[in-house]
Amino acid sequence: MAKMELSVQEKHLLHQAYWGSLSCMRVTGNVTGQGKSMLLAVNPFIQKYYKTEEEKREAVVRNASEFVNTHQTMFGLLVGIVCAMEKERAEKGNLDASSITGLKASLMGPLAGIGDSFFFNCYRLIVASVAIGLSANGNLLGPLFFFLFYGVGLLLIKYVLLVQGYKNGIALVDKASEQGLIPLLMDACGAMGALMIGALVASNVKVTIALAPVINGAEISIQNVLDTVMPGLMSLVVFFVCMKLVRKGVSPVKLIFSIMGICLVLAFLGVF
Amino acid sequence: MLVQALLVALAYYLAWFLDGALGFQTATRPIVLGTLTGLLCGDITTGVVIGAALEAVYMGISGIGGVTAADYRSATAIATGIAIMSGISMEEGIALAAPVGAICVGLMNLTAAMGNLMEPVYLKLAKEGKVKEYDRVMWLYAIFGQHLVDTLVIFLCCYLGSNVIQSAMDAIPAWIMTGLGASGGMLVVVGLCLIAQAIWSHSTVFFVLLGFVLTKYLSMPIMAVAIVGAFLAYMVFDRNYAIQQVARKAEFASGSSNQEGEDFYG
Repeated sequence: MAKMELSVQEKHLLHQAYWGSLSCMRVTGNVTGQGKSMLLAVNPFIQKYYKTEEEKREAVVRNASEFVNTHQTMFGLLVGIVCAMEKERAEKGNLDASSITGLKASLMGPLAGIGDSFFFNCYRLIVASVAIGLSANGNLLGPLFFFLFYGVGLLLIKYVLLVQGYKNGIALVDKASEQGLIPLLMDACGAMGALMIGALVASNVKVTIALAPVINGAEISIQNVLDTVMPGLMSLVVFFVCMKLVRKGVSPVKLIFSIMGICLVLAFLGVF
Repeated sequence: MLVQALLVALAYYLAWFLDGALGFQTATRPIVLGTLTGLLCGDITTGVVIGAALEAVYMGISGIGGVTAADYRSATAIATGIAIMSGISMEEGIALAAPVGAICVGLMNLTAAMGNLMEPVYLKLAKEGKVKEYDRVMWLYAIFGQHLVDTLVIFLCCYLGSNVIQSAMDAIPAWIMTGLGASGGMLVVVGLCLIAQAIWSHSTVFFVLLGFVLTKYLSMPIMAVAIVGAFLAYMVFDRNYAIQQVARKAEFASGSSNQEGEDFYG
């Protein structure tokens, strides 16, 4: 990638974005996951580069309502790229909002995989082994070592990833835009994004039916029957029903309350 | 007992708060949490020793006699705090902590449901464009909501004993917990739908189904699906690129017939 100098203003905004990105574990929720944190991180760029109030509002709502779930260190890279794309979209108008979403959806899964296997299952074990050794006889050096090299170390890596994600994101969008490839890349991103959404539905949406009516003395587990049709069939059904409702314009808030209500009622009736 | 229970719960709460505020998983690791508990309970050396030992246990390096508590966070806080203040061994502390961890895990549905009930508030604030308030509500929830239930449970278990809490929990009808748990498993769908809506095209359903089948039937890990996705994305890109080039060539041809499309790969 081409070397690129960041302006003073961009550096300032990136610092703000970094502070925002630290909120990725502050509150949790099943609906948007780290989407809340994504909004806080990207917001400085939204407020700076979008011109009209409507544009700002659109970008805020879009970032706040989209599900994000990835490794907290790799989250920095994702934030950097999204910041770059929002800026390019605001300044040059050459990007569609769906390409930003598509990229988010495509990247969060693999980034989570890389982050977990590298930082959590490898780097952490190395640091912890050394720290445990240092802690013999209650030496405070052990916990300090762990805190500095694992905790603070990952925070620094997150910062580097954020800045690199931003720089490369800008360079990539500029290059693609010059060659008129943006619409093609958008399609490609959309395809990969949809594939990753399917994978997330399969792994994250859990519907287990406990109901097992006794027919002619034989207990029939509905879940087993459904699993023989297709494993995880109900998650897929729930997804497509929700999709239909969302596309009809039903508000997410209504969906959230309905799902919670329906689940409680069905649990009371013994379906779950 | 009261002071001891308060200190243990405080250590647990502070560690979680630090992790939430900085967005890393460091302060709740046994080696740091044990040290923190030791610091609060007045014996930092024992805190470090127990924390390091538990870190090893939960890394799978060393085993522990008897029960291993499923929830390493509450286990570390309770085992360290009680070992320091009532002079029992770490193993006994862990044995005491195991049922508490189980209760905490059992109450996770409740905590998650509380978090999910906050989502409409966030969405509303976003719609009004109030990002400052959005940030503030996140902080307030992080301080007063996020780990309220589990901290309270740990305090009460240490103060009253875990049997009392367990029997109190048994009084809650099972369907409430099951229902909340089921809704937690389903609510992810809302955020995913909003993403799918944003990238919607005629082929979205096809790719969603493919991703689902790869993950469910073939049990492919997310990285493998992503690699397949990258290939597919390239194929989509390549096809569209070829179409674009043909269209350009056709344009050239109709414009001036002897023009060659030399910048084919430009």
